[in-house]
Amino acid sequence: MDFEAIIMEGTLILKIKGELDQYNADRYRLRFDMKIVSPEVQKVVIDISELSFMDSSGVGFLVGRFKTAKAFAKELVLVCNQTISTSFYQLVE
Amino acid sequence: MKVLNYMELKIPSKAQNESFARVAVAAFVAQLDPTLDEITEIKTAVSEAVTNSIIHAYEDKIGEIIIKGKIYENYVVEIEVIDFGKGIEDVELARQPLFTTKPDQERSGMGFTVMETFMDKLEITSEVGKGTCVKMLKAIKKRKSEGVEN
Repeated sequence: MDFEAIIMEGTLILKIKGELDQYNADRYRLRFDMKIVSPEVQKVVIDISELSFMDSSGVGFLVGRFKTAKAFAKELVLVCNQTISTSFYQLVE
Repeated sequence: MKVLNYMELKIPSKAQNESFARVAVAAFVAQLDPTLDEITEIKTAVSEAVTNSIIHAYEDKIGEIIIKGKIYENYVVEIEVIDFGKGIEDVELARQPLFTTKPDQERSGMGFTVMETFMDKLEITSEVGKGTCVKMLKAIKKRKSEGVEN
């Protein structure tokens, strides 16, 4: 897994590429949170449209980042497309 | 059911091996010419089972995980993920969606639910202090006549 972080006018865009599993969740959790809580950030966008794989650890990771953003009163938006199995979303709902 | 092909894999419970385990199983299943969705479902289910062994069965120590794959007649795949860790006290409770023993660690509690949803059959046998065996079965839709010899 790899990611790109861009800040534009107070909006942090985190684009994740590759595989989001338990191994990568543990590696990137702190780095993502540090960026999310940064004072110059008001809004967060996590883009998972280029993820090639995600399991329930990845879902836990995304929910965790939502919680971090919420705790610091920041809005978090998730961007995705159809490449991640749609059945996963049915499951999460 | 007659076993047409099989494989066995032994790995230490290191998180780096999660991706290796699911890709290895996917490569083994590839001989049945599954669809991309079927491959993704199998990979995700294997990832969940292996993650469980790493996170829950062995927790802070490193133990062995055995992954067995079998291909039966009629394109049925069986995957077993076996560990010798701490075991599950209440399997029925563990299978409940959103149940987790580690809510503080961002565990979604969806591991077994994912396995159940993506595979056709899920069997869990576990003994406290001895380990856990997760057995999953999935029928691959037949797409071509060649491939595994029946």
